[in-house]
Amino acid sequence: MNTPIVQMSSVSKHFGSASVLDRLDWQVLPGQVIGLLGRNGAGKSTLLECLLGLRETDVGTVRIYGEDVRHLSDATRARIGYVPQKCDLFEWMTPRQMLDYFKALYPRWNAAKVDALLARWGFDPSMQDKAIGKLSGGEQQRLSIIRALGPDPDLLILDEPVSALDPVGRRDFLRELIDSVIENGTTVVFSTHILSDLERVALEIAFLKNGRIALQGQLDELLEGARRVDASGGTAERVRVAPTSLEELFIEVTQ
Amino acid sequence: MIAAPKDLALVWRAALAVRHPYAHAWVCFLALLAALCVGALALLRVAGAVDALLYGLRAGWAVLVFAWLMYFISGAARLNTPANAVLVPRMRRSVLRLMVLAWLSATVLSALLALGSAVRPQLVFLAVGFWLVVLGLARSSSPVRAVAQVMLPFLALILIYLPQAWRAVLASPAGFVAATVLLLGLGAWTLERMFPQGGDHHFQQRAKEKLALDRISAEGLFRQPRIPRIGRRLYQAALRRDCERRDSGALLMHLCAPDGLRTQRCLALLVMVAGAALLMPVLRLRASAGTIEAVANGSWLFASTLLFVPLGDYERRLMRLAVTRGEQGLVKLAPGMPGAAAAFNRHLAARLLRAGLAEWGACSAAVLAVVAITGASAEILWMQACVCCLTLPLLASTLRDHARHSGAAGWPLLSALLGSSAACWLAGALATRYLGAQTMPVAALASVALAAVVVAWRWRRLAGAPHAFPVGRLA
Repeated sequence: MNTPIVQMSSVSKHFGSASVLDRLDWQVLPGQVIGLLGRNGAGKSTLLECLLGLRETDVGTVRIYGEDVRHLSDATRARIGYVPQKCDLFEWMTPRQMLDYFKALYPRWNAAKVDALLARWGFDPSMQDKAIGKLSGGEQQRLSIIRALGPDPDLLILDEPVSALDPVGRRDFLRELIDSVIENGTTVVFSTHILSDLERVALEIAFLKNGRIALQGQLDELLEGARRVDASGGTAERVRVAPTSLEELFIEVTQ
Repeated sequence: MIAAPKDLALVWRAALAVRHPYAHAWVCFLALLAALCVGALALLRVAGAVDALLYGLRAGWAVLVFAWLMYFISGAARLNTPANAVLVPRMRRSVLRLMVLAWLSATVLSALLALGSAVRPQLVFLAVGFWLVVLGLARSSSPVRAVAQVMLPFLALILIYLPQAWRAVLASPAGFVAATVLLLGLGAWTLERMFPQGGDHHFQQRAKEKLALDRISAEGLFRQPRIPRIGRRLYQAALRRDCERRDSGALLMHLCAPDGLRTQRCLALLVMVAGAALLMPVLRLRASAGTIEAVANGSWLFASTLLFVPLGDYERRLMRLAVTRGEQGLVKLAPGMPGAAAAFNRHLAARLLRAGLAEWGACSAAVLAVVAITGASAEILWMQACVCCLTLPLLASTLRDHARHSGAAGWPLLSALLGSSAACWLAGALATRYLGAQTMPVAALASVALAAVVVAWRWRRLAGAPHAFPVGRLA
């Protein structure tokens, strides 16, 4: 049996009187590609930040590769890649300077992959010498993804990584994610609102509702199961519209 | 209420609220306070109640105009976005009317308040009018903004040292009318620069204008330091070197001071010392013996103000940390940084402390060099060295629980500095009284001891504090 890479046990997090995570239990197994879904303000970003130790939990424990997230070893941190929701990327530096900065902080850095991604994703030499603050939102997000992929992470946490990308950028990113990351057995946790992208990438979906993982499973099984539940309804008048797409399932589960 | 005054009142409140929700109340309160304080002082010093009332009114009016301008101009400029300028022309019109109304009332009332004083009302009218126009220009998006910003502090000096003959010309009917026409023309031109009508140029200027307006506040000044080209080059060289060396401490400091602050600061101090070294021989050749002696004896007073420079640097660094929380999350996850909270906190604290100490050393050296160049006696030099030591406890402010605190320390930091200096001076005074020792050396020693104790205490506390990054997350 696989040992979970990420293990969250009875995690609670409050902001003032508002409860964001409520005794949440969650596991991520090696090689899983999980799409994390939830309504705005459901706590997806907070969950991912708590998972990475960027926020303290009020109660509960979080372990990554068996280590308490508050005391992660250098080796474990070197295996994690993170794309935050907001691209805060040293806006006074140029893309090249920022990547060199992180290269200096990681023992393993795939410079060839970074260069190839820069070239493929439209970062020509002139753009690489431009201050990051002057790049567009989409360009900054692409750069943030390149930065996260630089150390060849084994666990990739993506917090709405494609929200600022145009359709072409999204397609390039998803292709990269499938070809170079998922195919290599990297574990991916991916939060997004663009369900069509999630359907292309994630095999497994987790819904966050009321501070807990309300539903998790293989995407196909969840959709099939939802149909079965509706088909077993009572009289014809009381039968609801059966959820047939991820969007409908999202609405059903999160409302 | 009829439409036009209603519009004006609405724009007035909206513009003030942009900067601070209670700006209106603050401005009125400060004006009242100034009027009462100055009026009461005048009543104590000047016998007549009418005179005291006039002094109070003048002080209240001066605060009202000044504070209102600080809030209103920047707020009104922010309301007049390129989109608003095109899509809500009535708002732009109201802003312009309000500005004209305010300029007129400020100048006319200032002139009326000068009645009965030694200053001629015509000159007050022109002085206030030109000052308001230059201030407006300095806050505008016009390319001449930089010139107005440089001129602004010297405007008062120009008015004070204006020759008597010129004053007489300006106060004469013909001179006054000519100057007023010039003022009106300049005012109209400035209004167009302050509130553009939209269009591409307005969009382009908007970013520059926003930056200029942000820099009016201390927070904006610390958050967005101006980086000269030479400073940027130095910073890039330092970043390249630190990346090549994989020096995690130095890389950490790139979060705090992207403007290469320390190098720039050292350069500025060197230029200042060199300037003093060049100026003094000229002064010795041209000035009288009395002037040279006054400069030598009084230079410490001017030089001591430089000791507040590290205070600004600490604040700037804290503000930089407050606005780079996103980057801090990424840095925290990087394996090149110490992982455990205690180790990381001390790694950060050691770097901040080192930077603070270096800045204090550089400023103190510059202060002593300037005082020495002016030909101050050994006694003054020694006293200056003691004064430099009085600011040492400031170093402890860098060692704070960043997870629970973020942003500039503000008045508490300044109060702590003044308090510690006063306490150390008191210790020196007591030593003089009871032990016969010299006050300043004892005060300096007390300061060094106090700095050591507070730094050691705060250093120990860091071990138990939560991980510093991202700062302010537990505030």
